[in-house]
Amino acid sequence: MAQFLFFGRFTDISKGFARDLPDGVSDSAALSLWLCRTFEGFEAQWQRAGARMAVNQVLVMGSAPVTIGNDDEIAFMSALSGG
Amino acid sequence: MIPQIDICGEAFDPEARLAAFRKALGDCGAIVSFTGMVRYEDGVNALELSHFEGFTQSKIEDICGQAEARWALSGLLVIHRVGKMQAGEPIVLVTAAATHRREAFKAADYVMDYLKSEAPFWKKEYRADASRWIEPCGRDKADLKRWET
Repeated sequence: MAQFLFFGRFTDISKGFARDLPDGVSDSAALSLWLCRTFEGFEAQWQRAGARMAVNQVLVMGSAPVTIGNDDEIAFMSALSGG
Repeated sequence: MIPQIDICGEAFDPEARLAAFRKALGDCGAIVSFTGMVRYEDGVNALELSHFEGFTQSKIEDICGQAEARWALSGLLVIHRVGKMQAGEPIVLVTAAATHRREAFKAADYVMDYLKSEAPFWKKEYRADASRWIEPCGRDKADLKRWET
């Protein structure tokens, strides 16, 4: 099962969960699209400035989709605010 | 130089941590230290910071590595609080040591600017009847731009 982690504003939707990726979802672009369609409130957070995804603690950069599988840890983060 | 990074869930004493850092350094020409505190704001009961275990440490290491690449440093110390805290408590300590003051000033300033906008922390403010997420403001983004040249 893939591990889904949520940080910042995304925790208003869920603290995180583990589940198998749906059929046909095998990359980061397809996953974010699926989450937008499935989870109420996700799309609004995903569209906000500074929102980002990390797969196995590596940020997904640019528009090229990253391959994902059921062994992966996938994190969604809102804009960062340290200090 | 190996930066010292501590993401801590308990209140810390900046003066004690600075003294220990200074003692371990030995002979050093300049030490610049910045302590960020939770501000008193009307109606705010508490501030909560969360982080992404492993990932946050790794990103702070990257930030320290970038500072080391820019300036000749003798030491770097970054302590960042997580969890719930009250006004008046220290939230972050950044200390840079170098042979000369200019490098130490710049490195501390640089690390702090990047912690504000690029380190994986999330800050929530609690009031009596509501809470809200705090995100980098225009000033934080402008501060970061200073280092792009």
